[in-house]
Amino acid sequence: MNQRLIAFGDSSTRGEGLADVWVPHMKETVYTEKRRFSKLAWPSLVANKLGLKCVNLGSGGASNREIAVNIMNFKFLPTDIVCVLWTFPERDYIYKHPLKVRRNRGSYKEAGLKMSPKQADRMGYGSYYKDWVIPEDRDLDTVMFMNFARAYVLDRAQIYAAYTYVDLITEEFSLPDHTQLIKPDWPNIVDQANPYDYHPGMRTHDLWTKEFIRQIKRAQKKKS
Amino acid sequence: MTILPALCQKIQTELFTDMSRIIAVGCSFTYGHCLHTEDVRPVAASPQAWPGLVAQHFNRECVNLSWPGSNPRYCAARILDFDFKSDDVVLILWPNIHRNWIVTDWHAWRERNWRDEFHREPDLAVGSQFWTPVCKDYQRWWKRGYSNTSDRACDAWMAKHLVRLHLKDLGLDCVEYDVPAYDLDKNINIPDRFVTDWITEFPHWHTLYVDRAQDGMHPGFKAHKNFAKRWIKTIKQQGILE
Repeated sequence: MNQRLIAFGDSSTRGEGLADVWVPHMKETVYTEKRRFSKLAWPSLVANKLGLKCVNLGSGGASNREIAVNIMNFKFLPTDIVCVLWTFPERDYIYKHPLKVRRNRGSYKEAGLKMSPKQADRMGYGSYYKDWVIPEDRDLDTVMFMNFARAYVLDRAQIYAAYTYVDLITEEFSLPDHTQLIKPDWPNIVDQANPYDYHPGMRTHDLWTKEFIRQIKRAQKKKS
Repeated sequence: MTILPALCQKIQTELFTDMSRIIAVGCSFTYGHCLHTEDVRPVAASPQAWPGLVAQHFNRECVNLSWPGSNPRYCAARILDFDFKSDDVVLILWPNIHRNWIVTDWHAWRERNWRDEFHREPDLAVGSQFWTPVCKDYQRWWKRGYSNTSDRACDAWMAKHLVRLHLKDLGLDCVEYDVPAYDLDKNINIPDRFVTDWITEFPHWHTLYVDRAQDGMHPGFKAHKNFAKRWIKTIKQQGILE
């Protein structure tokens, strides 16, 4: 059986907007049963370069909490190589929100409510960001999830490689040593997926691929 | 009435600064809430709460990081924020999952100077909101769908796992118990995947809870002595200290 590369992240990990999942006449990304993620996105590129089977569990709109929940819901094999591309710290997620319990793909069955400040008022949870959280609180959560994910994965799988493509919101916290800002990060992505979609394009995915491969090889060298 | 715990803490700090330590984390049951006063506003963890008594027994310094109303996420944040030494022994009495903790005023925490003669470091609890199910904020948050039992259980599970792995990484000995479920949540089912089978409920809790503190709710002096005896027994049984 091929060794697996398991990738976690948001729509940028799933490859939203890239050519093989973009439907031009609809001007949107469409995933199908046969094409659940883009094969042009960084997880597939990393897997191809290293001769691994790619399992891409990127999820559109995912927050760092959702990524951490997805990681803890996954059954790892001891030979797995796990890559995580963390996302916007201000996003949030309510596990098994009563309105969102449904069958979902992959190894997780209960969906959660994805939350972001941009959509808060429109989606009816504006009070969450106004009344109950401050940026430092989101940063604290993000750093905790990053530490949790690494410890959890290394207890179960072979290699853990992680970056974030969005920096923390405040200066009160700093990213852990094991999870640094990838180059290029969000404000500096070198290209867009297509003229209608702001997601990272192929050149950005190529650069991310190189970063992940570098980290994986470093981890493999340390292990041996 | 509030001077007494601070004075005891000062004595403990001056006498035991370089000694080995017991680090305790939890909620009001660990804090010694209302042992010395009816005033519910927390001032300092009581040295006569069970962590202080356990530390006295083993001739160690007690560092009590607990806070009334805290939840597992707070406990995890406290532990990750703490500068451990290699011979620390960590005791955790995990709070009920039906709590929420949010940082609401980071600058209040950072800027307020708590490095006085009684406290060593600024307390993470300053500039925070601690919600329990009796709080209107908690009830409002719950009604708006911002959480549910599964979500709270998920939060607690992640916090407990993180702490377990963090302390294992540091090579520290740890003894953990859960506060037993309250009456109000005995009928709530925690999803199987969030069961933390390495942590049990504190044994014989109700038998040991023989008296109340000054608020008529929290454990009193005798109850804390009983809890301390139980912790000491477990620590010795696990061969952590003699």
